[in-house]
Amino acid sequence: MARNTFYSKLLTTIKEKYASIDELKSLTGFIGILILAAVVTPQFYLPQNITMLLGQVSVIAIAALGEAFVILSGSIDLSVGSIIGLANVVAAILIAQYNFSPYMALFSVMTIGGIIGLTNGIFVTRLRIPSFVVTLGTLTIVRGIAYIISGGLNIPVYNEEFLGLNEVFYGVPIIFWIYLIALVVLTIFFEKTRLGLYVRATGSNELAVRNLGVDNSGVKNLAFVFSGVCSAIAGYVLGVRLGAGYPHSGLGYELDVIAAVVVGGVALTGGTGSLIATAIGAFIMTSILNIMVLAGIGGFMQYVVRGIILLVAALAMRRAGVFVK
Amino acid sequence: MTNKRDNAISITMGTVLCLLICVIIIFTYSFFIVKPAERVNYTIMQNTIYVDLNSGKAYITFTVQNTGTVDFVIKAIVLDKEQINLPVEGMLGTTLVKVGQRAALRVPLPHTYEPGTVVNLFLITDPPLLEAQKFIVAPTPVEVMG
Repeated sequence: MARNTFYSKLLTTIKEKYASIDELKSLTGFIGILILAAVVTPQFYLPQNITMLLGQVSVIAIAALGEAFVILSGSIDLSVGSIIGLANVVAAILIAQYNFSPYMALFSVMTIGGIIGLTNGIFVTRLRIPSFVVTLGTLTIVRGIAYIISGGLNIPVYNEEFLGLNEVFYGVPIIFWIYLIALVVLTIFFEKTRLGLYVRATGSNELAVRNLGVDNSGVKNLAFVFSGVCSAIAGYVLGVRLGAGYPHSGLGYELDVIAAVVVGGVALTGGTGSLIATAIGAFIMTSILNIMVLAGIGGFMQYVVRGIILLVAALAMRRAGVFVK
Repeated sequence: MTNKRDNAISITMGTVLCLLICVIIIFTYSFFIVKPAERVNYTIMQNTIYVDLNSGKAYITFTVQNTGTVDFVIKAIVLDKEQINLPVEGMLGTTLVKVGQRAALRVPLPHTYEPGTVVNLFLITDPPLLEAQKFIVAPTPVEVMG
């Protein structure tokens, strides 16, 4: 009897701990996918494939970091894909046609991304327009600008320093190191600073935060700026991978990015989730895509499978009570 | 309460200020440190080889428009595989083509060409074209002088 009580208490404690740590849920899903990969496509674990996967995941994962901030603050940013495209084109033009150093080009596109993010934020917070509508508008405008400045043409980049970022450092692509640095910096900001707490609190209960004297508009603006900057870095990284600026790059990425954030366990209603979980979500989405390619599943079917995974994640979140405010 | 509110408002202002500083840094860099890449590009127009059947003399006329970002000098013209270094005696026009401007040239040729044929015209410039642009070749018809 005593033993039964002990086990039931232990089980309850484990369940409570499991429920309280956001990362564990998405990590469980990721481990499940890794097991699936071992069964379905053992070539998934080849070093070349892992290196390629890390390169692939970097673009989505960097953009997902910024998107997570916006979603956690209770809004949504649909313009990430277009900002990725614009950053990709602008970086290529600055390096190839204006002799910018690759690092200065990165700084420039980050600034542009930040300005677009701030514009989104001001429309949402000051003019009280829903973020879905504002960022839908920005999505089209920014994509148009990318087409205008590139003339709809691809811009090849021959800069060795820029293309060198696509190489491997200690077995890991340099662009993935860039992502890791961004993840560490933003996680420290998110977990250890008061502003990070405000972001979560704003998404959780905006009115209560405002009554506490916190300018939730400023916090939301900051979240949009983070999203713009992260998307711009993602666009730059995509340029490194492609070796060129493509005005149509990043098309439809907003859905992949939002899917990565949701699968990572961040509630679309805001307030709940973490950046580490978002990173795991990005890994889940990219790994599934990779496994499907290795398993020879066609492109059309890949859309169906990814959609199903998103729905399954949403069901799991509903069961965990994430959608209830 | 008021203090907290004032500090909070500065989040947006702080963000704007940071972005403004970044923009100033980028403009300073682009104006004072970096120079646009020198890119030679041009379009060849109205290119024709005229042949005088009586004397057997021939000359080529063409117009070049500088569509690149730097002035260039036409050092030579290449007709199929024959290279003619410029300037040559009897040539009309200038070999210096400034950005955005056009230059018309009339160059006497060392030998005659068969009327009705087409000869490929390629220019050697200083600074030269990028390796990737070496496809700028103008098919030039050979006509009898009227």
